[in-house]
Amino acid sequence: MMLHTFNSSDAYRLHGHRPSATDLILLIEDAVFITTQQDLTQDHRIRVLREDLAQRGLPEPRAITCITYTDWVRLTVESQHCLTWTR
Amino acid sequence: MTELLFILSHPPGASVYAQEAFDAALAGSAFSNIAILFVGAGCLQLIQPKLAVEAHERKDFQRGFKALADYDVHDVYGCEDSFKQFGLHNQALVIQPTLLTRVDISARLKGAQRVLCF
Repeated sequence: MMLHTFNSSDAYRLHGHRPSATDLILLIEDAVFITTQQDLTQDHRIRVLREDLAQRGLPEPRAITCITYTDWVRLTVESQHCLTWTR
Repeated sequence: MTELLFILSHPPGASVYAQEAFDAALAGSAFSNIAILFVGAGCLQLIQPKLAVEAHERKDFQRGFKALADYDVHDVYGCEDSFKQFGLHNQALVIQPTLLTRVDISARLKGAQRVLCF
């Protein structure tokens, strides 16, 4: 399993197709705005950093898993590779 | 086996990512078996710069791609989809990478010991 981290909507638009079905996708920083623009509830690979949602005044999406920094560290340790897609 | 896979996804000129990645890859080649993968706008780094160095006020690092083989870096790949997206098939490129499909890229990622994204 690989962890693909996206930090902006642009990064997700450009590279969101790259994670495979068994990978995880973590939205951080301005990428959390995607939760307000797209219906990601069917994609069970998606994780959203709770702290970055809160900092932007966004509510936690109901059907998407929100994680803490501690969870992020755990995912990083558990993943074979961590890929960060920035823009 | 690839020990370090460098993924280059930023265009040249817009930031220091592109040049930093190239410098890091050369440094990595000194002690590891490395591979380089150009994806997305990162493929634009392969286009031969046409402006004089003074015009874009940055080091013309892309010419260094030609020296990769001298550094024992032979595994240079490009994303086939990105090449189509940016119309690079008919462009004059500094070097010609081996084009990989999405499935091939996934396999390369899984096979690499470490992946570094720039």
